[in-house]
Amino acid sequence: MTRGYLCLVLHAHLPFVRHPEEEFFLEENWLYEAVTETYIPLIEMFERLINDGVDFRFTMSLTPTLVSMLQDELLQERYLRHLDKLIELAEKEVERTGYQPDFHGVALMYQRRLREARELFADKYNRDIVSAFRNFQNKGCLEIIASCATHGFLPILSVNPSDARAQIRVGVEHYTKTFGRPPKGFWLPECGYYSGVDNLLKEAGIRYFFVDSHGILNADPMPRHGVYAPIYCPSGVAAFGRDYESSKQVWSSKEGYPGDVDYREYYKDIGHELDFDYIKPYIHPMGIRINTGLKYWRITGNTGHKEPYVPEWAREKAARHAGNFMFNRQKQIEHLSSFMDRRPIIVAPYDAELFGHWWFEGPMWLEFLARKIFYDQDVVRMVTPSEYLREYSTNQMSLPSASSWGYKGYNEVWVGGSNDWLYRHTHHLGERMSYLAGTFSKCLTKKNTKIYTRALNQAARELLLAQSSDWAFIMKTGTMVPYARKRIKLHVGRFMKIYEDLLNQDIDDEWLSEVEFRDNTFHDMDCAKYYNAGTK
Amino acid sequence: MKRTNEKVKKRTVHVKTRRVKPSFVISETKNPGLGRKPLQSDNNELSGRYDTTRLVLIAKDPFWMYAYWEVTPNSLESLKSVLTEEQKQRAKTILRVYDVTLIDFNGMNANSYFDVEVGNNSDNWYINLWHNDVSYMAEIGLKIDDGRFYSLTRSNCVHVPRSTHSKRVEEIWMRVEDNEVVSPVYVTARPNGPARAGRKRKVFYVTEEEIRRYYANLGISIKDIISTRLGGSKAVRYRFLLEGENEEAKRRILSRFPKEYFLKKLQSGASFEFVELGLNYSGGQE
Repeated sequence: MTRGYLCLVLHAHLPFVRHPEEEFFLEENWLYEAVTETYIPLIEMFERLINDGVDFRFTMSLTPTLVSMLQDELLQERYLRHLDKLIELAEKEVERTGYQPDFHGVALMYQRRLREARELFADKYNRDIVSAFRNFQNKGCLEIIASCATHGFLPILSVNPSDARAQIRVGVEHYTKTFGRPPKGFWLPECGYYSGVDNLLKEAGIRYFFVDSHGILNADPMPRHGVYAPIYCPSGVAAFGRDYESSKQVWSSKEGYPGDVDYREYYKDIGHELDFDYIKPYIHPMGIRINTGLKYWRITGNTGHKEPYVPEWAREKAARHAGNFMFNRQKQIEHLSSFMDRRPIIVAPYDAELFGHWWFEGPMWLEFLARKIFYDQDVVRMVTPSEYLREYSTNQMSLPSASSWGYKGYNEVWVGGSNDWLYRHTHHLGERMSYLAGTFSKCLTKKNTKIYTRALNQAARELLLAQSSDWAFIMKTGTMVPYARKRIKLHVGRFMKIYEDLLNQDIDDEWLSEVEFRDNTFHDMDCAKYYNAGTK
Repeated sequence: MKRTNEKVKKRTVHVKTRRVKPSFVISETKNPGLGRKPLQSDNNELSGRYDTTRLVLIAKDPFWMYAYWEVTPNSLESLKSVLTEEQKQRAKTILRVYDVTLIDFNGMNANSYFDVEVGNNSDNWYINLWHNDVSYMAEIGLKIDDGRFYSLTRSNCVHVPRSTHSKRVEEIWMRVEDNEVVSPVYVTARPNGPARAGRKRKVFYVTEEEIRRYYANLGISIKDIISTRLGGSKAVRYRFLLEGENEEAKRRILSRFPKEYFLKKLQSGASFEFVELGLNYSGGQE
């Protein structure tokens, strides 16, 4: 008899990176890597589970910027080009390792995986892998939730109420267009919750969202069931809290599964190791060594010395770890249900890119977990938040406390020495956008003012792109800071030009068309209307 | 492999003719990526000055806040014009941070405030706070020798997160069907020990207005808000300042109250102890 539920949430997000003005753009690789190493393996996993009749449930967020990129023709084209190169490299690798038994099996594995990935991407789904996720949702085993237009961090954006509102509404509208139905759940970027955002979500028709553990534990009044049941905000929108125990088992760099010695080592990639002339056609054309995704070593231990990767051992470990995770959830649920008067729900959200990209065996682990839960026991059952709310429509009312799932639990990651300077720009832009939307609101409905409408909407897009929390995050972690700075400069500059052109009533059509082509996210949506205080 | 490349080229040409505008392509090419000039608007450096006087607060964590501002030369000049030369010389730029928790701030009615000296040349500051779970607004301006403060502009209102769990532990339950709130109810606390006959938990419906009042007052309990409906006489409360030579003396005083009254000790600061007496409360002791 089911005594409790497990709700696994995969948050898939990438910032909008599309540069038609250059042939090869390094940062576009983030998308190609994620597609090859995470999204395609997840799709293959879901397909296998469905084919075998396993009843499973996952909750997934696919952010609008990610979906825009996955559905963009130019990027799909470039991805295939990238994949074909990778397949070529894999084939050369198979040849090169012909007399190296330690590595040959691994090379063959990569070759097979890449060929299967290509078939799935190009033939089966006709380059549109978003349709795969849509199908899974329509089948009922995947619940896809919406998120902010460009993953803006709402607690900081809330300085201008129209900024927060537009991020949510554009995100919800984009979801409805993509998946053919309005979203029930919402992923707040970085779980950034502040009191009042639930009202905005309610206006957008959202029924539930997620917060980090202390958002629930510090809620007012104190929730009786902790994070093991959702709470209703006074507005009626439900908040689900992250469970610390199940998070730690996967996220922790010391105690978590991904650090196991038999798993594949992320940091030893042939892009950095092999002879330059051999690898040159497969890294960046300027000769910068980058990750290819082909790696031959296992973690081995906390040492610099690495041993060859053995896929069978890794697979064994994945199965064992899945069993261990399930066992811990069972114990947890048995313990909780002894003093809860309802079935507890364990919410375990993770970044989707953890599975496959950072943790190579991740998708395998997920698959083992889903199978073991279905076949080997009946204490835990996988569930989506909507299903839980249908079963328990009465919940405690409480106001979650402002929080995020970033380092230290509040806003520190996004407002610090490295990135605090950018808010004076984005907030100012937000104010100006509100002003523009109010002043030119009549243009949005008339027909012969098409260019004003175009300019207004493109201004909104530039603002949304400047608001991506990714730029502040990149500056904080120090990974590709010049690129993040460049993006902010770019979007602020483009916005200000549109702003001035609109006020002078003299819009440069050619320039506008070029900008519309390059920053083409939400290209067929009216984004500006959400900045007008009068719009509902 | 070759055929695929040809297909790729054909698709690329198709995309190109739909989108390319002449003046941005240097050479004829089959790939829409190559040859696009950088846009003129992309090269401008960010100045950080938008010619508007404003002050913005952002909460960083329960004990830190970030403030940034811009003061236009005009605003500063027009403010300084009412000062004497000497006052101008010695005026200090300060941030006055107001605690405006649960207040409709009109400039004068803050709960309290403190000043931060920020110097004449900075445009942002990290402010350390003594309390969490508080709402703040700030003003930036000049403070002159005699203590008078001339404000240049006021900020937005920001609420700093709570760092610990809430002190209120009562249960208010709600049912939501089809995204509509059906019925918020307050349920009296579970009686301790084995359930006795007649000591059932009671259910009271709570209105939206009452929920608003619940969150509009610090620490008030839902029982107080719906006290008139709790049945029996009105809840009456008395507060006394508890004074005694030592802890033993204080305990003796408290032990003198009859057991039917419920007693709560409230600490206020380090030196005062209040005792709250509740009479005629349905549900008994806490």
